[in-house]
Amino acid sequence: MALSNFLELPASGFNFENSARNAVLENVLGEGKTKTPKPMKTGTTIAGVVYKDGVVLGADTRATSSEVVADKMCAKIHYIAPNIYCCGAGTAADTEKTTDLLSSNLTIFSMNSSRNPRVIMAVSILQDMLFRYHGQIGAFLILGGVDCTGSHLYSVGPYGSVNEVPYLAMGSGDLAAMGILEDGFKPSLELEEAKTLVCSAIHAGIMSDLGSGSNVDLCVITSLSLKTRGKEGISTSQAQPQF
Amino acid sequence: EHPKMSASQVKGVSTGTTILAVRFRGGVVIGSDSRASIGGEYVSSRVINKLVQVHDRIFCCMAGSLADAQAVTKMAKFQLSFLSIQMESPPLVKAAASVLKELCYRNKDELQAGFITAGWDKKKGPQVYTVSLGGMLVSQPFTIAGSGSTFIYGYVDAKYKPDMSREECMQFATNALALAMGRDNVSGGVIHLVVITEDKAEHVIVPGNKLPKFHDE
Repeated sequence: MALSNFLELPASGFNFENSARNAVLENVLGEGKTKTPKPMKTGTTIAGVVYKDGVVLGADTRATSSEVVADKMCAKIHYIAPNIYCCGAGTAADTEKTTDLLSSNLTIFSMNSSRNPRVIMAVSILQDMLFRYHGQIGAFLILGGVDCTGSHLYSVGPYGSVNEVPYLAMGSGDLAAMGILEDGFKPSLELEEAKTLVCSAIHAGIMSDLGSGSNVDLCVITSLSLKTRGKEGISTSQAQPQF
Repeated sequence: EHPKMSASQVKGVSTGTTILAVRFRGGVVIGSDSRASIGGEYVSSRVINKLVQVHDRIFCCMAGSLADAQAVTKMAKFQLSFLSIQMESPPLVKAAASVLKELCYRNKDELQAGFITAGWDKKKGPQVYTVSLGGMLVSQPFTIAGSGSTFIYGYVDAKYKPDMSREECMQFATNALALAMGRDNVSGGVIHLVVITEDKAEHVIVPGNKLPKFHDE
């Protein structure tokens, strides 16, 4: 993975070394009596909305391991940079590690250049890395942030596909959340409207999806370049979903 | 010949699509639908943009796996901007198509993406090229691709005329895409068109409620 403080010239063409290794590992483990451990999935509802002055991200807080709730207060909104946050669905370890790696990389960049990173930088780095791993990293991410070019919301898929959109939901509860977002979204929402909308969307996911539950986490990133969250760590949303 | 790209064979987000490009008098029209699906089961985005600008007067549209297509076009964009600096002039449309072809052919085992490249250059004027899944490169006056293209071969063969005017060409492209979107379940949404001439590249969107209607709608 390219770090921004020295030039690492990649070998030409695409690099699929790791997918061959993974296939070999799978075969080796499959032959014997051992089974690969089932990864903890976040079976999730995450959503994001671009509003007038920035971006609102939301997530539920349940992490499941098969049919058992492994973590009732799991934090799915990850810090990337002071002006960029990322919600992760898919395999919990993968989203955690990927976002950590991205955050470290961007911190180095910030220190080097005395600038806040742009959202498109984060997206490009993620896209490069996930494409290189050919879908083996199960990270479905919603990246939201504000930079000098404006407010942005991107979806990044595990195979490295990227899409910039004004509103978005992902995870197992995305169909329920998307219904609320499609109905309620308007361009240039006010902050309170946006928070209510995201909260209702996550709430719909929590009610209608078995893999999502517990509380709603909200994260607001504004162009004043300060993020606001509830308590440090996990917060319950103040806005009540409207029916 | 384009093999029908079945959406369920593509892992991850698929653009299971209808794309086309048509040459007219003085330029080209390149167009696509806007639907992205996962596993042929549900629509992951109804407003995806499949038209990518790889240089000032060269666009390409993608079909197949979205991740693969985005990675290839990113690489192509970089190579073309580097080429244009080396040559001190804009790259030829054929060069752009060739770059895509090289990437698709060399990595054909790992990639599932096909492209249509269209644009304008000083040497040959407006051109349309198609790069298939396995890396075949062919130049044609017009071309259609993607899963929805199978439904409109008859229409485009019957209705295409060489040397159309810009308006006729846009209408032809819009009709063809609308017909394909009407019959193919993995194509839909809005129509994105880009009209490329010597002077500029203009992006036109035809929203869902303004699509041409045919007899059964």
